[in-house]
Amino acid sequence: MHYRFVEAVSAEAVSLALGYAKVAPSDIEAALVLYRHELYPQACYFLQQGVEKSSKAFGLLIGTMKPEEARKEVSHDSLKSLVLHLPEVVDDVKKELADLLEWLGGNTHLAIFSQVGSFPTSRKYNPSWNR
Amino acid sequence: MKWPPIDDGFRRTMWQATLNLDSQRPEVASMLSALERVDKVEPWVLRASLRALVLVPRVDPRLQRLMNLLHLYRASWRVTPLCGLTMWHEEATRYQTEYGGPSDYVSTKPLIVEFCTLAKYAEVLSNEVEKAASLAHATRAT
Repeated sequence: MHYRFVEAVSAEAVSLALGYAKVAPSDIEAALVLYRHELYPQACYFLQQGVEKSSKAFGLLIGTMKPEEARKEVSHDSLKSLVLHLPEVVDDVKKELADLLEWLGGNTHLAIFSQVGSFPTSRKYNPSWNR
Repeated sequence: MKWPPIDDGFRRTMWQATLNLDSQRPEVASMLSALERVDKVEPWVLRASLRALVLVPRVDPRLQRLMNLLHLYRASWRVTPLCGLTMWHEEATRYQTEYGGPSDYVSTKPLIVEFCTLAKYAEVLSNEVEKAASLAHATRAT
């Protein structure tokens, strides 16, 4: 069994991603504390930092960001690159999820994943997905 | 949506537009509507996670794979809009720039008014990425 998005990236990328991912929640918590003390610019700064760390970790995990890129000060261009490649990656995640869920439905002999049929595989959002 | 080259003019425009959550700007409107979409996708993802956890033994590698993908999927809906809304505020929140500075972040600005909502989305993003990273790391280690 292979993780398409995890095994495709290096062990170094996964370790680095874990490092960023572990710090990001405390940045966001700090942002909320600063906000409650009406330190708004500082709160916005920590929110931005938390989002950036999570984005770096996410980019490393799905392979759209390389460890050397993540270690540098993330430029707007590399974030832009992450954003631009995201639809393709999300489409792949969705397809793989749909396959796994289909397996799970068959394995349990229950029609538990009736939503699989309506699983969104198009990049265009369709409000009927969740009906 | 195609983004123009990020030069100083665009940076200034986006800083102002995101501070004011100006939905007249197509980039801001697109990011705000993407965040609204998150809430519509969530119930499906959460139901899938719960059923998978209840019905499949935790040692099954396919469950680990499924959970990893679900965490990444949940995070993916939030990455773009949150990045797009916050990335312009790294500098002006700390020092005066040519387009603005810390004194612009006052309680009446829409970004500040909606701060807690954005922070909630960011909390979920960071938690999902952390879970995905931990799972990926553990899977590699075993």
